[in-house]
Amino acid sequence: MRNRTPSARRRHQLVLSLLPHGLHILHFQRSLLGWKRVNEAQLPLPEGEDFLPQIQAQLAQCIQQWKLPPGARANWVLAGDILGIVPPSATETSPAAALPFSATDTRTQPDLFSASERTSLMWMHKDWIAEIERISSQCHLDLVEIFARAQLFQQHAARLTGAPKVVIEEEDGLLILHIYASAGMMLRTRILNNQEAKTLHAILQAELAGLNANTDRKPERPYHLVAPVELLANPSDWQGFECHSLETITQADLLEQLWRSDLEGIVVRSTHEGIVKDIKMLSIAMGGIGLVGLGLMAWHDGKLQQQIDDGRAQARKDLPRVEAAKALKTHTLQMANTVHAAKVFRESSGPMTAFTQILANFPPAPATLLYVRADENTFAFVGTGEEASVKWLQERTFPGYGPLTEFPVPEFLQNSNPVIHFQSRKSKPDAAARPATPSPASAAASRTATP
Amino acid sequence: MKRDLKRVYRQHGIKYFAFPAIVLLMLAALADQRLGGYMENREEAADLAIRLENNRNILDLNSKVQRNHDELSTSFAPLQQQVFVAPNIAQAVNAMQEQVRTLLQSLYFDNVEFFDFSDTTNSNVSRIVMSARFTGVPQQLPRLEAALAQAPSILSIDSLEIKVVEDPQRGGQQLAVQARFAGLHMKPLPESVPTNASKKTEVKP
Repeated sequence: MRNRTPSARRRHQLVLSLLPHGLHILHFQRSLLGWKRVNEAQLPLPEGEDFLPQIQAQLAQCIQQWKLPPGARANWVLAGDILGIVPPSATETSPAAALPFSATDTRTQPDLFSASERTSLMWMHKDWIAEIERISSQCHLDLVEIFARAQLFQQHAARLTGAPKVVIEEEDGLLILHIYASAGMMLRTRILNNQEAKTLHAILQAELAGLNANTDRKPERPYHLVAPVELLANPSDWQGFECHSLETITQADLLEQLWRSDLEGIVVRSTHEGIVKDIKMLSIAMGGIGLVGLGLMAWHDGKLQQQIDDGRAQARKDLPRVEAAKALKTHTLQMANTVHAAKVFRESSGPMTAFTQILANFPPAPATLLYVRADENTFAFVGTGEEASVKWLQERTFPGYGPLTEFPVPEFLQNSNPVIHFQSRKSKPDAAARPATPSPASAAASRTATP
Repeated sequence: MKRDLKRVYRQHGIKYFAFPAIVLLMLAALADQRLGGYMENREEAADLAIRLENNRNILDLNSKVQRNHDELSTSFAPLQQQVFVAPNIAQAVNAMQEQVRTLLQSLYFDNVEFFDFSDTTNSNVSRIVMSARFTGVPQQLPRLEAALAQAPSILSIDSLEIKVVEDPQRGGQQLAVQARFAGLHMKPLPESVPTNASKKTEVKP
């Protein structure tokens, strides 16, 4: 089922290229990513009286097959046998004067390709326009614009600078001639019949001579000739021309390039007012969305203000209790720190413990203690005595400390010749757990060197 | 299509193309008037929400803090008398020095002199250390250990060096002791705080 909504109609366009032997149709559809070619058809046409009904029949069949909505826009591209070109006149007279029919019987459009004061004129007889319009409307299409076939090559030709250009294209066995001015403006377009195709050089010379006579201007440089490679096979046939081979671009691509370009044909139904409407709608939509956005912002701003006022009031209300809680936390942390520090302080067994152990384990007289040094982890002591004193000490254990090792005698005790000089280091906790039976410290204390 | 845009421009000039730009400019001008204040309010509301959340967390935790405070109070109350409480280290060092001097003199140690003071601070509690030189006889040393254990403040000896030296006054020998005494210093705590902060608070979002 066809979609008949206006927006659906605007989403489809056809480009139809008509030649004596065939009709080439391209179908474009607009999506979010832009226009895209979705269908293409090349339809052969018979010559004779059946020509126009066949166009309509074949076109209607395509439209039905592609399920086009009614009212889709149609752009036609017509060759020189239907849409002609009148070159600008050398005199001040209007090119309309050179039309083969009365101005009231034709539709014209100046070729605005180059910004020249004197422009050539695309023209078409109104009967042909009526016929094209009738075929289009019978097929439920809106005819919007008709282009000259010469416009297919206009931008390619304009890239060759300096001299006027001649483009000869070959389509369906037909040779079609297009002549452009130096700046790219169309001057002439026509389909060559079979007889003319055989005497191409002569025909070309005649056409150019006619144009020169018309424009009263002789080219300063040789014409550019753009034609299929096979036509240019023998360069000696084309003396006086600068030959270029025609790029092999498909017919469909040429039609699409023309349709997407800014080249203007004969306008049958103006479409640019739609753009004005779109711009207005866009502006209104932007304004509306913007105002709604600003309104939402203002509304949210009010809510935020209320939230801030409530929050401030709550913060003021909480302040005394929060300050008290913070102070309590600080107080508690300081208390915890102090308690912990005191615990650690008390747990560290000081050197006094080591001193007590040294005294408790020191051998009996005549051994005499001369020097003690103790800190948190080590102790050392030096004393005089006998070999038995040393043996006594080596048999003793110092709870919490490792075995006794030799301690270098300090220099100031060297003269005393001390036999006892030991040191030890705190051992691991399991070693510290061993039982010890030291003699009372007060008894040992009496064995230090005293008067 | 491009050709339609060209035709609009040829027929109407830039009039219609300027419409969206004018609308955008007007919207931008309107937004500029209000956007600054709006953004500030957003920021302030967010800051305030964070502050209220923090307050709520503090108040929620307060009952737990109060329990800890009460538990610690029993250990802390006697401890407060055993550390050197002073607003600064210098005062605490002086107090400790006097206490150690008194203690040593009470045990009849002679020639007491102090040197080499230092402190190590850990949060609000500092460990203060001072070295002392004094002379005595061996029997005094166990008494020193007992006296330190019974001292009103927590005191300990970090290192000890004892040499047997000649006693020129009384003849014979005596002990020359060099000991490094350590104690704890704490800054005075703030006054006790009211404990009604644990009441739940209602914070509006």
